[in-house]
Amino acid sequence: MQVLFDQLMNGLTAGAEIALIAAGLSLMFGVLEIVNFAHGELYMLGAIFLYIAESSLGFPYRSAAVLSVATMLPFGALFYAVVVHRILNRGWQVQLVATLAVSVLLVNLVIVVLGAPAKLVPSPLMTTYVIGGMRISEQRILVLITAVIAFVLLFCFFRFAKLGKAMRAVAQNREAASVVGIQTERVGLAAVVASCLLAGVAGATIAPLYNVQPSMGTAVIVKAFAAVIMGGFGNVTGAIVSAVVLGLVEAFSIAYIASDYADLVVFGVMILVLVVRPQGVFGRVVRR
Amino acid sequence: MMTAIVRRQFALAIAAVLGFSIWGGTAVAQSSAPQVVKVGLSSPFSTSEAQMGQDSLHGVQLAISQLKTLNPKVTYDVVQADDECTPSGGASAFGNLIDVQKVDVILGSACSGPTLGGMPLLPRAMIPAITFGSTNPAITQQAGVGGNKYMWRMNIDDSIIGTTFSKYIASAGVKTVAFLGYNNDFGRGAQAVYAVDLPQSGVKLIDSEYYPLDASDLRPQLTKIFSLHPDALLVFGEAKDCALLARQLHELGQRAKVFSRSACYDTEALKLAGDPNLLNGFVEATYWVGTPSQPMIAAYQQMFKVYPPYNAALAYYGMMVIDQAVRAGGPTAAGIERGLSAVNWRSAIGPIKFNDHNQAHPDLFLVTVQNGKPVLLKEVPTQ
Amino acid sequence: MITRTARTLPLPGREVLGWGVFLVLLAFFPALTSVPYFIRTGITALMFVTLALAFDLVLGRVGALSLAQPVFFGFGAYAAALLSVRFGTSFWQEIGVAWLGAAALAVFIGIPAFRLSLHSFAIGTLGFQVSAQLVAQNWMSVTSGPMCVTAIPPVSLSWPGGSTQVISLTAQYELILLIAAIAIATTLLVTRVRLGLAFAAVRDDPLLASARGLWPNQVRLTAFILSAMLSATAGAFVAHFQTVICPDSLDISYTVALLIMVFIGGVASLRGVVSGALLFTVLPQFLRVVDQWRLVIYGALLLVIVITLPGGLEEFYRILERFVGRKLGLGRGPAGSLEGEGSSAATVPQRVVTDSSEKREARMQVPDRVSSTSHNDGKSQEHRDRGGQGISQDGPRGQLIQSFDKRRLEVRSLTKLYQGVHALQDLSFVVEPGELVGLIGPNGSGKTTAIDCVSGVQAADGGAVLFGDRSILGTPTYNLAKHGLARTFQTVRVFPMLTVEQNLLVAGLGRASHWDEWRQYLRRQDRWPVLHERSRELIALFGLQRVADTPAGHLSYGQRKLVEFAAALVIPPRVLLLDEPVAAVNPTTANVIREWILRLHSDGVSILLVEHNMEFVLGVCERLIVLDHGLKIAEGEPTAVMKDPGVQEAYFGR
Repeated sequence: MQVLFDQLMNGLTAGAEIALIAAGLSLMFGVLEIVNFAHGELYMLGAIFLYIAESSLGFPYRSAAVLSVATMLPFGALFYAVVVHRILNRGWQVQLVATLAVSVLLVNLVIVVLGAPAKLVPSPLMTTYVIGGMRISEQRILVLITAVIAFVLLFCFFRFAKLGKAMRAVAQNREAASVVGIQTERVGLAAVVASCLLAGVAGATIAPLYNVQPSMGTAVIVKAFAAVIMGGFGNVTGAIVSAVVLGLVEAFSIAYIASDYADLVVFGVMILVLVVRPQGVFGRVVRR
Repeated sequence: MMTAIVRRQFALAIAAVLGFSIWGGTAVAQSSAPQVVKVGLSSPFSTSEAQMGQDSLHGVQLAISQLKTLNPKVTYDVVQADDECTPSGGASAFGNLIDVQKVDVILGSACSGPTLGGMPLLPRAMIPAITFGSTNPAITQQAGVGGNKYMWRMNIDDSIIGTTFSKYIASAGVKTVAFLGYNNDFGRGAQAVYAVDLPQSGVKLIDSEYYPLDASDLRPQLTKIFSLHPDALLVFGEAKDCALLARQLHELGQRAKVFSRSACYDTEALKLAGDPNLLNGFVEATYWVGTPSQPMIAAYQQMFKVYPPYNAALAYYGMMVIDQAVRAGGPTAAGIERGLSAVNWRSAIGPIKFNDHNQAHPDLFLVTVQNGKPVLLKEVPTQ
Repeated sequence: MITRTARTLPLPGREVLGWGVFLVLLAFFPALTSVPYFIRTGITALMFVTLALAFDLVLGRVGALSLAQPVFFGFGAYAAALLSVRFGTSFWQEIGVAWLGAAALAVFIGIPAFRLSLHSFAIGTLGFQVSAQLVAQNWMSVTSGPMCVTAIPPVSLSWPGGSTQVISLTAQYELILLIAAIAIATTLLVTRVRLGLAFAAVRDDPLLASARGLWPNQVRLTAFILSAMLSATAGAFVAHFQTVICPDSLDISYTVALLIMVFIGGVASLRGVVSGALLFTVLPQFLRVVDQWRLVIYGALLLVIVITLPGGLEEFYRILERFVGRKLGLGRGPAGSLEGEGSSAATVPQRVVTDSSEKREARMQVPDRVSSTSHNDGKSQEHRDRGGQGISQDGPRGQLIQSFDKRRLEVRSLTKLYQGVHALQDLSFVVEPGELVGLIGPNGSGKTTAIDCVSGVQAADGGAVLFGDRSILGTPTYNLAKHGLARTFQTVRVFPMLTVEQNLLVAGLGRASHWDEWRQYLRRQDRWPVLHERSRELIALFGLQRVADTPAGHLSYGQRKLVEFAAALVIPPRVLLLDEPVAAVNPTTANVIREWILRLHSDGVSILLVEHNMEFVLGVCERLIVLDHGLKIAEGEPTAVMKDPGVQEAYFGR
């Protein structure tokens, strides 16, 4: 029984990690209808910035984390100006290849500049708490809490905030939104920056748990995509929920099926959802 | 936004760049003069395994610099080719080294896939190749007598280590073991070996779990393993994975006996664990560790300012083996091929002599970590 | 994407000849160099040419972004590897297994995947690729997992006399060249046969294709299966070439490489994709000098090219062509094939041959039963619906339809809800055979929704629709089209990349029964005498001769309306649903359309006409139905209905 709870905790925390990454991905797709294949690399960059802030600049974890997330702000603007802005009105093919190119570029640039080997990002949040027989480290609690906060914030943002509602308007119909006076350019920029910020937060909170390496983005992005798809393209909160579900599915497959087939089960679940409900669990049918 | 004209200019500029690089690259190397031996190093130099290539290259460079004084009659030259740690990459790299860069001997690959992929090119070209780090048993099976006479392996692989390590594990009083390994040829191949060897030494293998190559979170596997209460863990991976394992074992509050083939004693593992004491008590069976009787360690530190990574050390010894072969057979490809079968060298890592399947049997090192530092337990001959 | 003008191109025969010469030249490449490494690079390049063309078949020709290509390639590789290692099979046997298995896989993956929308399809196929790789990685007993299938023997070609092994590098090169040639030939063939028209139609506008009778998912699946078989063939060859096959043959890096090759080369462009594949296989070999930076350069290059020159090399080639054409003073020749995103004109029908095959084909044209004499109201429906019924070709001008059976269209209690808003509420009406009924109402009253529900474009939430005595609610649009229920769209729809004539040909193709449609896939587009005649006839009657070979996307709004209208009539329907056929159209065009509507009416076609133009409606309709907020508020004789106070209130307010 204890094992069940342990795996439950494993799954929840793993799901929270995927959720933080999937949130930004879903946001960008929802507002701009761009599938950002470079999103995993944005997450990796968040972790890399944290590493640089700690090891080269010598900041302690807390301030380094804040600094690294803050760095994603201008980076997001840069990403928008250089790439996203130019591919907005092109076909999906151009968008796909462009973001893929950015992904290849970023991964290898980091390999060349910082080297391929893994790096450690230390953090003081190392104490392990025992809650009801389950052990969980402080850092993981941080990730969990951050994911919950992100969920609540995003939910409220889209529902109540002016910019959030503007984003939803742009997501539903770009032209109509601009006709009623919404500055779609700015909304698009905000969406990209928000997406990068979320990726940065993910990087800053998750990086100390594991090794930081240039390929860390590609490792998680496929699961993030699965979560976004399952949640329904464009539904940010749906993506977060699906991510947690996928984390649980993975943990339980490892525990009760076989660890070598765990990934297969996760994708099997995604494919099953898509077969039964092509628009995703929470999705609405996308206008086409 | 760019106008059509500017776009076109851009495109033509790019075409020019491409053209230039094509022109620049077509210069095909000249084959080496008799007293110069050209060594081709095949290893990953790009992708996430890029470090392997870098380390190997340093090892070879150290060896060559030493050989200037040790064997002044021969000049050694090293060139490299990126095999991307895949079979097709290996075929391409071996091909490049043989046909374009016209090497006399190939050193590599550090990965198994490229070695398997590149091997078939050797007999037609009559160029020998020595791997210093590939672990797939199929290489030895296909090499030597009745097979590919030009493929040689210096390092021992898990089919050789298996019996020795299993005996050692049994002698430590362990009755049940759980296996945790990479889901690739290294981990899978090893599991197949230990599934046989452990029971033969009286140890029960109660569970086998795997993790994907870029996995970070091992807790589900660990949780499952510990619910079965094994006496010890047997883990297979790289240094970074061992570090993750140590940290997550600590997080889960498990104090387990760990036997490893995961470079757990390596500086990288100790560094990435944050607190190196987390690895205290791990026992690693490895085909290289820095023992006091290895002068190359100090020399490497002097040349490259860091402790040698194991790929660098193995590549160093591989280069030295090539020199031994040259001394025995002559400074040409044919000479090296002849010389390799005659090599009988007592190296700092054990005896190097190739059997009829072109496999050498250097020693196995059992290393443990004490107070956050690697300590040699035993050096075991594997012949 | 960039739009292009109709460009000058050599005759299609010249294109085939050009490729033939190119392939022959390539065959001599091994003779030019003695360096095995270069030949190996050439082999890898040709393998990628095959894979890239297979990929483009799905991506470029039917517009589906499938990320599952490595599954088929890997399947072919593993099949060949395992069969030859364990059973010593010949290459033919391996190809046979590869084709069957790949086709089966394609169906297995395609059927659920094609139900998904564009982005989900991409991610869904990605999921299949990842899963397949995991299976290869973990199914140790069969694939040996990460230990790889090793020591694969060379290709063994067996024939009645004995067998030979393809061992030498040159021989292997010629074999992969043959495979690549097959891929090139397949692409050339597809653009020249009727299947190519179906591909282009489904790619450019699946909804319109469906309305014309083509089944988009079936067409896409056809491309998918072809692509899978080509990829598997390349895989089978590679197994022998590499002598070792590991799970990395199913890795996503192949997908990434193919994406780069196809996009840099130019989607849907044969010469673009081939050059893209060649370039990006050969280029890395020359970038070996800068190993670490190689992939950085790749990424940067790809990003720059995709933003500045999104048409890729194909665009580059066209610039070159125009430049050279101008220099050599070449005139405008007849237009070419279905190449490139901005593909232009059809192959001009060079000959109208009536040999036996064409006669046979002429008989298979039309599903509707036709006899030269009476209106056969009394005949049974089943007899009429069976496909493959003939038409008689009387004299030089065959008549496609002389008469056809009539059907009644009945709508009962049709309801459609949008999140609580009733777009249609309990709508009931009838269109008797041969009637011309108008459906009018203010904006938002549900007129287009009604047409959408009847034609299967939208699902209704309640009620029934009867076509004759058959319930058709829920029947897919393409099936309805094949049974003679045609429609036009409120926002005019044509296939923008196809010429006017090709638009009409597609309509003719779609109208055939499924079986007849499939049977003609491999027939040439330019030898289609009956349909060519018919489309030329319609083009003349609609006054579109001057633009017959222009891509429909380049026409004016009014011209496109005419094309859309003509396409609905290529083979006259039983029931025609017209959604605002004269909206925003100048009076001359409106008159042409009105004449046609009246003519169809007198031929006995049942017509339901949605319009805002009151003058037009009152001038042609026998009966009017008025909708407001999804409810029928009036029905009857036109002038009486217009005087109805409720109707006036709906339109003008109180």
